[in-house]
Amino acid sequence: MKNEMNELCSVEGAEYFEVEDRAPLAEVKLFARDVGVKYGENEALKNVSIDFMEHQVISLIGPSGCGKSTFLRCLNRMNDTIEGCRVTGEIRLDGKDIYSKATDPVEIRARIGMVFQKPNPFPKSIYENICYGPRIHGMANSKADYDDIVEWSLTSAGLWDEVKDRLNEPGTGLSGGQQQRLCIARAIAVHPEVILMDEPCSALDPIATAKIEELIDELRERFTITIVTHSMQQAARISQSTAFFHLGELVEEGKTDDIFTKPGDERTEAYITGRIG
Amino acid sequence: MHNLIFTALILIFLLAIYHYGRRFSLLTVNHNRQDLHSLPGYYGLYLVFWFIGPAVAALIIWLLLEPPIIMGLLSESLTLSFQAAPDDVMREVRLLASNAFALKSATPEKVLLVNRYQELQALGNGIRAVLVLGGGVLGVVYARRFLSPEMRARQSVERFIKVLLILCSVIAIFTTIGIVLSLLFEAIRFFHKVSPAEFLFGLHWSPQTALRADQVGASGAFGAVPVFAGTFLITIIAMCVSIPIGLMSAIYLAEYATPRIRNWVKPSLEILAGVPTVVYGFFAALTVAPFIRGLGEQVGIAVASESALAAGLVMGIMIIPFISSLSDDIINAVPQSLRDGAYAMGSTKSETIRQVVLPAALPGIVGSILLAVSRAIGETMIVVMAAGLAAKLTANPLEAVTTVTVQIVTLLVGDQEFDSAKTLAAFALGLMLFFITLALNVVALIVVRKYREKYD
Repeated sequence: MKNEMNELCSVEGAEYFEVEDRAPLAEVKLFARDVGVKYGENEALKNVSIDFMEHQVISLIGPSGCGKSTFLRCLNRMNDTIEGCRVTGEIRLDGKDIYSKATDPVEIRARIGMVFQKPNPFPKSIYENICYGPRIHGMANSKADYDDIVEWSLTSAGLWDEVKDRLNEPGTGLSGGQQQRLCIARAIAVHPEVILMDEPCSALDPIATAKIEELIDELRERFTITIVTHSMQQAARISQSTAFFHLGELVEEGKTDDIFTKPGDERTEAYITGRIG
Repeated sequence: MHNLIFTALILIFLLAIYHYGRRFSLLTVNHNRQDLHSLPGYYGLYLVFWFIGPAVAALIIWLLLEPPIIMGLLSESLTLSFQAAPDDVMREVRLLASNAFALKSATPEKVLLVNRYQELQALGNGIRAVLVLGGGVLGVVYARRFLSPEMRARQSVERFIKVLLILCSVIAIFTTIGIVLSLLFEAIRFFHKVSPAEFLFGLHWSPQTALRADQVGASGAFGAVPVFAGTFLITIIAMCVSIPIGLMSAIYLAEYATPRIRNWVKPSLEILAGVPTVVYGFFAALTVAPFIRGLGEQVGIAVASESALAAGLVMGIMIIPFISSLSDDIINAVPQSLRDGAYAMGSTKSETIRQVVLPAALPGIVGSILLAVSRAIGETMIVVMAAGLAAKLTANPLEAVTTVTVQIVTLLVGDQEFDSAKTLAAFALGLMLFFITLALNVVALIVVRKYREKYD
């Protein structure tokens, strides 16, 4: 599988699976300490502490139900919309506590964008899908500004050439991979600082997956990216750091190379060699 | 009573046949159920259906044949004096047979005929019973030959059931067609008397036709425009009340209410739908209309005591649950992923609802509104009590107007001659009303169907 992907990607002319390590120089963008989540009486997550470095991709891996998606949704307060969900601990964005009473979750979500497992374009045109965010945040004044934003976002998401002639067609009419890139373009149109991705490739075929992975590697230049993935190959290809979750706990977190070559915990080793999960 | 006993007997007979089929199939395999193709009950049902099918067929055939046969036999015993108009005599005989009181004063000749008729009928009933039973038994005897362990009884039974289901749905369709046709034919008779152009475009409605030539003010005018204008005026008022209130309560229920409040509010709203329209009617006529008139008097505006406003307001209240309940379901059907997508970009709850959820639900909401409109147009009881009777072409909601349904009611209440233009006008009105609501329903269905394609 990995070799297949290598071939596939080298055809695309990208070398993004050669992981660079920029961690030591980067600053902490997001900071999580002792984060726990309870759904009613049910404890979904406990004592998770991770530093998210700027301009890095960090992968959250682990078996289904281990709490990695729950953790991801804590980072932009998406869990607020779930009835009976309680988040404890501390999460700071650039040093500012995002769960303090003074913080507006709407502002947090504008700064921390999110891409979901299933592509969820709005039932509007491609153009309007991109403009949605800038419009609610009042980021542009004229039609020309919006045109620029649309072109910039779609180009950044590698979708511009494919859709530039049909911007007024519905976003739901695109293929799955295109829809997912549209959702990424929609997320970056509001210029977030962090992008959270919740298994963004799980509904896509290998070619669409390769395109998105390539895109993630490019986006790292401008954004801090956190990605939940079930594919360990994907984690290895695109991330600089990896965090392994198991049964609601963070088992270990470190450089991707280290996690996959010399894991510190036997549960991690068992998972990446395919014995659990 | 006789028929009741007969039906009970048939039912017992069917049970016996069912058991016979079941036992018979089990005996053929020495009670080794595994050797039977279908479950034993299917063999019993198979025989039962083979009884019902021929029996019903025999019954239908006999019901078609019986009247002409009785008629034929009876006409042999007609005396010459009755030969002239046998149809009239028959009608009279049938009437007399069912009316012992009238029979006492009938001529001996006729009493003779009636007695003969009753004899024949009793005979006919006997023949009918024999035919039904005989047909059923013949069917069972015929079908029994097929019973064997390899027989696919389940498939046959399911085919029977499928035919039964098709028949049931066909009945509904044919009834609708029948209603439309009867409306259509009566309306055509009306249009022989009044030209369609006058009906469709005439501005004056006064359906009282003169019984005697010298009666006053009873020429009869059948311009339907003011009547339909009244219907639309009241409908518009009703929608002005029900669309905003219904839609907003739907939004509250679907997006803001906690489950506890929702479980309490939604059923309470739906109670509104359970209030009989008659109650709404006198509420409108006795409470709302005087209130509005009193209010108008205080401000110095003349308000008719049967104003369109009162009827429209109450009708609007009545329709609220239709819109709120349907729209609530539709808003709930908008995938959570769309809301998540909007929240994740930093939109507030109201932005999400206004710019993502409502546009996505809009086709469905439009569908629910159109359904509510067609209900408002067809609503009768409220307007009969609270709207006026005189047709008036006005857009002023404070005046009394009349509606199509009110006119149909007043045209047909009481004794009527069935060939006067006045009575037939009701059918023409009904036909037009039917087409309007049909068109609205079709539009609503198309819109709703289009909406379904949206996310899937």
